[in-house]
Amino acid sequence: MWRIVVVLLITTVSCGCGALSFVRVTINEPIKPEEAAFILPGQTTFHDVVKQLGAPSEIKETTDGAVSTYHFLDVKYSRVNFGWIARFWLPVNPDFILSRGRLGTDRFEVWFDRAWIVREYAFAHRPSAPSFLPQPF
Amino acid sequence: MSRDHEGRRMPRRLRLVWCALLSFLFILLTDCAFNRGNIGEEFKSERVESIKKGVTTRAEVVSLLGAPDRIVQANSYDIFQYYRYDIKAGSLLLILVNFSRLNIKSDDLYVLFNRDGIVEDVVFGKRTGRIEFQFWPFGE
Repeated sequence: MWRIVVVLLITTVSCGCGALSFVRVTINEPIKPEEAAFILPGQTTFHDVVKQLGAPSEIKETTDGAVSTYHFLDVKYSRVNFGWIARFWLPVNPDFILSRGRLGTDRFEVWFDRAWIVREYAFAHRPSAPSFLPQPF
Repeated sequence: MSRDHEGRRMPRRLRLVWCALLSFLFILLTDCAFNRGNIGEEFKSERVESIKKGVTTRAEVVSLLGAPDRIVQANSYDIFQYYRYDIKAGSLLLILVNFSRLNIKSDDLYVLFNRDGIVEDVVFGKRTGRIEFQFWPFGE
């Protein structure tokens, strides 16, 4: 669902008529590793995690307990219209557009045993930090 | 405005430069937009607080908050999940360049029920209170 919302929002917002467009979409704020440093596997409870980090975006059952997931999303979209300048001397408005969107997803997952004690936790970082570069090739 | 910080009148040439600069900025600034969107209804704190651990039943939770957005089973609990998204978008549309930024934050409410259908726990996280309108897409 997130992806549909993001695509719709980008489409809506990027309808500006300038030669250059920069659009950023962020969903929630990423949790930094130092903010999760208080978690001690085998000791910290679900309540402790929620108290410090807030409610997770998702809870799922696993074979030996549960996993709570915190989702974060950062989308950067840039567009350049090289045809924009020609509208000043041509009777039509030609478009020659290059654009690119980059989607960075961060996930923080905490695994719990059946007594809701943390077994382990991990960050699933995006492969590379997205940047604004309207180069689709 | 046409005097400097010591009260002396600005030279005519400097005033012309200022006027030209301001006019240029006004020409560049063509549009500005604020947009707001929501998915789901806001959680009323009095309704969330009225859910009592060990007392409130599943039917009472449904009558208070409506049908859950998602039902999950984990660790012998039935978990009702309710979520809400708040979206704030700001756009600065200049003649040459457009800047836009959309900030989306979620509120999540989990109600955990035991095997008897009684509330065992309530977990509520509110992030939408910190959401703000922004134009500038660069940086953090």
